[in-house]
Amino acid sequence: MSIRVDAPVRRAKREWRYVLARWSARITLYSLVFFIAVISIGPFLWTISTSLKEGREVMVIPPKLIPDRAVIENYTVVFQGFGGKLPVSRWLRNSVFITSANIFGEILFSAIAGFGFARFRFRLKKVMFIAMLSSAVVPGMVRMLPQYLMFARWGWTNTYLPLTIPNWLGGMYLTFLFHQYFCTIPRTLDEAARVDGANSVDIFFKIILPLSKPLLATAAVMVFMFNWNNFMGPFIYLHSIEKYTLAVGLRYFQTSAYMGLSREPMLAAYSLIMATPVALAFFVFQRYFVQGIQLSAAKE
Amino acid sequence: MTQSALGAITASPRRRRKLNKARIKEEIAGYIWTSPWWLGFLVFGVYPMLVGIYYAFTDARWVRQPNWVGLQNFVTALTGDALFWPSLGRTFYYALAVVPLGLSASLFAASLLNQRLKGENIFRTVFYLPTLMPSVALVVIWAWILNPTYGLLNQMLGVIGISGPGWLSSAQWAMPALVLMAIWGSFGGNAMLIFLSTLQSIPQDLYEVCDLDGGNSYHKFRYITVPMISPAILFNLIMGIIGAFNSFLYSFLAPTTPGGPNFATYTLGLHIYNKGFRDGLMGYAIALSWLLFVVVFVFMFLTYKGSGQWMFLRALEEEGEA
Repeated sequence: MSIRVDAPVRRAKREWRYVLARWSARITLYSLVFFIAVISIGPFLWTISTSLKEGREVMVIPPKLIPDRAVIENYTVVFQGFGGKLPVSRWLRNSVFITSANIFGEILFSAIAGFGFARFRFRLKKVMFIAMLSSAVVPGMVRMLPQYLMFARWGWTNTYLPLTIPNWLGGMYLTFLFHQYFCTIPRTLDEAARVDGANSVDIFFKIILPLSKPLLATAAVMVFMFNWNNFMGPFIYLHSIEKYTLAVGLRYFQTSAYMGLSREPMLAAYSLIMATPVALAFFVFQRYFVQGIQLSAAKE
Repeated sequence: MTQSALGAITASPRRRRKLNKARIKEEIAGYIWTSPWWLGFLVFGVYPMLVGIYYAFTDARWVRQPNWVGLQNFVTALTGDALFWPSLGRTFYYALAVVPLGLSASLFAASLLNQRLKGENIFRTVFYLPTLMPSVALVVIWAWILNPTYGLLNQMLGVIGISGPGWLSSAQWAMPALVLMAIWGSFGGNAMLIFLSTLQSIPQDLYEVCDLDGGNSYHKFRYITVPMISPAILFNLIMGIIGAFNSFLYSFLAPTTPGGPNFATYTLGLHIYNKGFRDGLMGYAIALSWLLFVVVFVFMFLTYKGSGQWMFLRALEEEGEA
């Protein structure tokens, strides 16, 4: 590598240009990032603003981001089930129930199966693993209708069984993630424990799981997000209003004619109430969550 | 490897039998531990799919005993169903808009975040926010923003002198509205995170070498970035294709009537849903879902095969093996 020494004047000129180019590049960069951030966050701000408005202020032209008078009644109306007309607190409890059942069951059983794939040699392992990965590219569409008929025959419709059990057993995504993670835990730990007389169950619960806390957190957020927001599953399987989840209930409220013109602020309040727990969980576990997503793409 | 070879030479027959017993025990333990997966896979995955193949050749309705009708369902779909081809066309329209635009947006956002920004984490979180929005709520919010008269978007377009279209109430603009919602709801999501981590794993010396050789930013992007992230592009592309072809959530939720106005957002996924759950024609709907599956599969296969042209790592691996 050789360094050419130019005339000092030319070099100074070049440096000045360089600094200018760098600054304009940075400014462009930051304005683009801000622009995208505004697009991402704008609809949320708009929703917050709508949720604080009184009914008649919604259709004002031009639209106002800051309402003349902010009211929180929309939130209390939602929590009280629109004057007791809709069982919103029931829906909340149902959503919490389905979501926590899945967080518990799906994580436990996926971790067990992932441990089996990561730690034991058996003849069909490779075949099973390939079957598992290829099931990721089979669209849910071809399973949706036959599954419905099957569950209908079993009398599972209008219960929470189709929304939990198929997630607990046979879930491909988390099983794969746990397998990937467990493979990074050194086997010498298992062997040392075995020498001390531990069996596989001990190793799984006392060594492997405690070492997998970051992935457990990731998995919990993923399962929480999916089930809390899931619309199609509960919509297809749940028929009676008091069994609805928050997501199906929101749709029910949105499409029912009742409440008249002033319902936009309530819909906004409802939407925000629904989105808040997921957003909080994401903020708290963000670091783990990002790692988990990256782990999931590492299979290619 | 060497250990087992040594064992085979030195071990007495008794020792070997003991080893086999341990192996058998391990085999059994493996099947027991993995049983939560394979039991569920067989009962909730394989079995419904096999039953579904059978149903596709029957006239199954809700609970009535299905009768074998041969290829009737497929013939009806391809020749007699006035909604099949148009809805397949709309599915293509939706997927061919959402996948490339959405992935470009994700990649663009990821490359911006990769420029050693101050507050990268904050921006990453902000970009991710729309993904956290439940789709039912997302649709409600966007229905207001896209409202033709008092919606925020058309008001803003009005300020710069453009009279905005009717969006969800116009047959021509309803589909672009769905595409807009879908991209907003996913550009900062998992695809972006995967792009970002792949970008961050590119060794910086490659770019420095490019600088020394007098390359500009286009060269860097074209000859270093794209090849290095090609596996992530392929992964996101395939996931995106599967998602876009099968999703009918937005066509179901966003317009005032599902698939409307005037069938403008009526995709094949929605057609399958309607035939199965609204009309109860389960056999026919399942046949349709298999047709959709074949379309997605062919599309995915072509993407994968075609990727050989631009996949950098596979070429490297093949070179390594040779």
